[in-house]
Amino acid sequence: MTQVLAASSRECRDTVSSVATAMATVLRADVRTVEVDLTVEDHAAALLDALERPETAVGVLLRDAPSWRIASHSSKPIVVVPPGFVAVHGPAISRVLLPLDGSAEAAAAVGDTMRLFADAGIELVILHVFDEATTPLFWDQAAHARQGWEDEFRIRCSTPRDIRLELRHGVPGEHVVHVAVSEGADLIALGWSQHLDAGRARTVRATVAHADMPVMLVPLAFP
Amino acid sequence: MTAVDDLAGPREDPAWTVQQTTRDPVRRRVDETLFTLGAGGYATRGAVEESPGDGPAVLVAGVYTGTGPRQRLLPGPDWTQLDIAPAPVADRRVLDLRSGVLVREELGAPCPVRTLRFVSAHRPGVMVLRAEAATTRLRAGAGLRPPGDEPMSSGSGEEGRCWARVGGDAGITAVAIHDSRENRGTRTVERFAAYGTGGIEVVEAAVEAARRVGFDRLLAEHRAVWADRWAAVDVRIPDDPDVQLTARFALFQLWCNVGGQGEAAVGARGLSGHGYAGHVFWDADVFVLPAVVSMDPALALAMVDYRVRRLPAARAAARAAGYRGARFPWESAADGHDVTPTSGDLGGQPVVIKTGTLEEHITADVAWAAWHCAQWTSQRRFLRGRRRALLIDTARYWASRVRLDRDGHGHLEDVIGPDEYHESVTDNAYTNVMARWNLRTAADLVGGDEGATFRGLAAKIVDGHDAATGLYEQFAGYFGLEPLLIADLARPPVAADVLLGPQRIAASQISKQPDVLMLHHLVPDETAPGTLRPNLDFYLPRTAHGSSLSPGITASLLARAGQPDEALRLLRIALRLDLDDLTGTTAAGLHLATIGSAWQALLFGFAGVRVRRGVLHLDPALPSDWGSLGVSFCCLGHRVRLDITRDVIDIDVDAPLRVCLRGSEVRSVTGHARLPTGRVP
Repeated sequence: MTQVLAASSRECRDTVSSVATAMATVLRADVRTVEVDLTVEDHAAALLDALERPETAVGVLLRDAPSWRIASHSSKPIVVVPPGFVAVHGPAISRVLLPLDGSAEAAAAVGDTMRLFADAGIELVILHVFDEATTPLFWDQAAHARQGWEDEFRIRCSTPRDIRLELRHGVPGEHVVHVAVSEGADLIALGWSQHLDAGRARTVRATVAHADMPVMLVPLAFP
Repeated sequence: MTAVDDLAGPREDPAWTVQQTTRDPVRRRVDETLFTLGAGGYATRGAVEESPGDGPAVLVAGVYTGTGPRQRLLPGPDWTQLDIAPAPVADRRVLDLRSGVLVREELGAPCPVRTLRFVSAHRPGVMVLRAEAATTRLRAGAGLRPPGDEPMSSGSGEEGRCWARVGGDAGITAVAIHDSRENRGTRTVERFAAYGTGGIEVVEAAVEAARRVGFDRLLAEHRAVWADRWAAVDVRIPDDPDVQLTARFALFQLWCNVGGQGEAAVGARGLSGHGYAGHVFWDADVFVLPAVVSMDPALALAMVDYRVRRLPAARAAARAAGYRGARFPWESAADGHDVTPTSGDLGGQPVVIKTGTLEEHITADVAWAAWHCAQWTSQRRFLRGRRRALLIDTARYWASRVRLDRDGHGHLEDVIGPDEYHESVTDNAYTNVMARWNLRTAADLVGGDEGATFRGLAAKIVDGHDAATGLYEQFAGYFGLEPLLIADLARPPVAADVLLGPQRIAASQISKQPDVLMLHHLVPDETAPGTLRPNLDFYLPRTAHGSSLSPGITASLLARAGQPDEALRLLRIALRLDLDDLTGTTAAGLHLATIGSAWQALLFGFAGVRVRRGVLHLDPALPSDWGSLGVSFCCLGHRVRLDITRDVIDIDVDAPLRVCLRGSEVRSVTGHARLPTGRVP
């Protein structure tokens, strides 16, 4: 049976558990709860081992410094839960924000996740932010250009027409949380390279740092 | 299968073929566009035979459906489909520019699927396909299939005959016949299709005639047309095979996408895709037509006549706006009424579209195209009748549109220039000077009191020129905007308005594309002498090139200004824009204006060709990497071939031609002449 691995200390058990239960509903999975102190080296190693088990589909952790180590080494998606998180819209996940930069890699990373959520009847909202790297070279006529651009974006990112696409311009990390709040998203799902070197994962860092809702980090190499 | 085998030579010739072997489904959608074949106003996209492809299989120039801004080119019945099972996993597709055929060969199969198709350049509307494969894999199937969700009436007869019609009586009719034969386990299918916009009898007769002629002879006559085209128009750059090939691709697709019966409506994406709904912009008049007139003057004339036939609608538009004369629409389709949408998006930001009401320079652009056609072809009778009326009525529009202030200065308020980053501006230099040019040109035609009125008013229109700096101010107040340079924001080309939002960009001096500089490109005699370079120096660092119209024209201007190396960098962008899918939208069609502008850059910029009052002027500029540049083109009713090196220009003409090199005395050239260039940078 597929499992959602809820890993937390005793103090924040309820916070993590509620999100794990919601994820388990989506995945039609069981929740397996483990009590860990990620500051202890053995606990972190044991958790990574548990995540590697075939039956583990996703891990759910509280957002704190050690959670980055787990997320960057896990081959499974990790849902990072902000401390003290209380689901505003109830315990279930009904709407998910999926930021996509337009690259085939990012789209592939969250492709399975997208299908999982869609199959579970969850509303998906795609967010694309035009930044220095993703702004098109040309935008000829504003009356027509969007259609052509969006057609291509959806094909390249395997995003069907029935999934709403929100567009912004600027720095992606400054938009993701804001759009998630304005859209009433229960979860943000982000593909990422698992590299935390200087200058990398800026959108992921900013989102995890500022989100008031759980953030699912999907490794680019996943599944 | 001689026809496919015949191509074994040319398909290996990298100077004349565009080849593709990718399995990437995204890229294959782009290839459908790149492998468009067309002639005479009929074109078919390059979808593979076992799949209906991503866009319309067939488009016909000027045949639209829908109303208002939703008006769009009507897709015709699909003639290219065959039943092939299993479908090829890997293939090589070769577009042979020299003979105008698309060849496909399956890779890795013992008895491969092989196809060859062409759209007859000799018989407008006739399309031909031959396919061969193992008998067990290939069947002709239905000869004509519906274009997507478009309703289609159809019927079939004996011996593989079928007909189909889309869009009712005013739509597109197709008739197809196929022949099938088997030999030692290989099936060969030949399909002949004809398209038309009239009665089915005409179309039927065309396809019957084609079948009688037979595949091989049809191909031979088709190749002969292409051979004649390339004998008249070509580019030769031995030191730069990439520019040579991509420029040939540009010429090829202009021939394929521009055409029509009596008139030629040339949409922004030609007939190669559904993008921009087939609407006709200034792209046709200013970017495509100057290229086409150097290739096939009759085609350019048909483009002018598309506008001429919509003069009544333009007159009605002027009247409706409270003015005299004729005002052409920013976006035009079937009947010449404005079909510009009123809403759109800049990236993710919804915006009100004002181009339909404010981008009025289109009216002068249309007039300029007609005049340019007359100049280039030197046809004395060209500007008579309704074509003459077009120039005069557009001038009448400006005469009633210009507002005189208390000092007697003429102004045009609330317009959008070519730089669409700045809307609702006053005295846009491009619009004002083009209006002035329109008035002066019409004055010469109309004469009398009205001519004098036109001339007097033209002299009063302000143009923002500062004699001290040589600069033209793009519009009133432009120099007071935030003096941002594009390098401060991003590396061009970039859609700066999408990156930063339209408000931020509108408050700055960042331009989308050449605006003032378009004057130096189109009407240099209307600009003050010596002002090209200072305006290039000022405006280029402020230009985002966020329009695909921008790189080619800028390349032409830079070459003329003696900066051919910088020009070449931009020319490469223009030439590879679709081939490399730089916009990410080529799957929806070729950027025909970019293609036209690239040929303009080669001809007007690098070769330095210009026609004035029946004289061919030359002022070439070669990039440092090019030892020579050869161009062949049509001009002043003649075929002209130039072979330019740093020392000499060899000129070959098929009849006496007056030539002026770098402003020296005009000489008559007959047959062949070799002129010392003096100086080629």
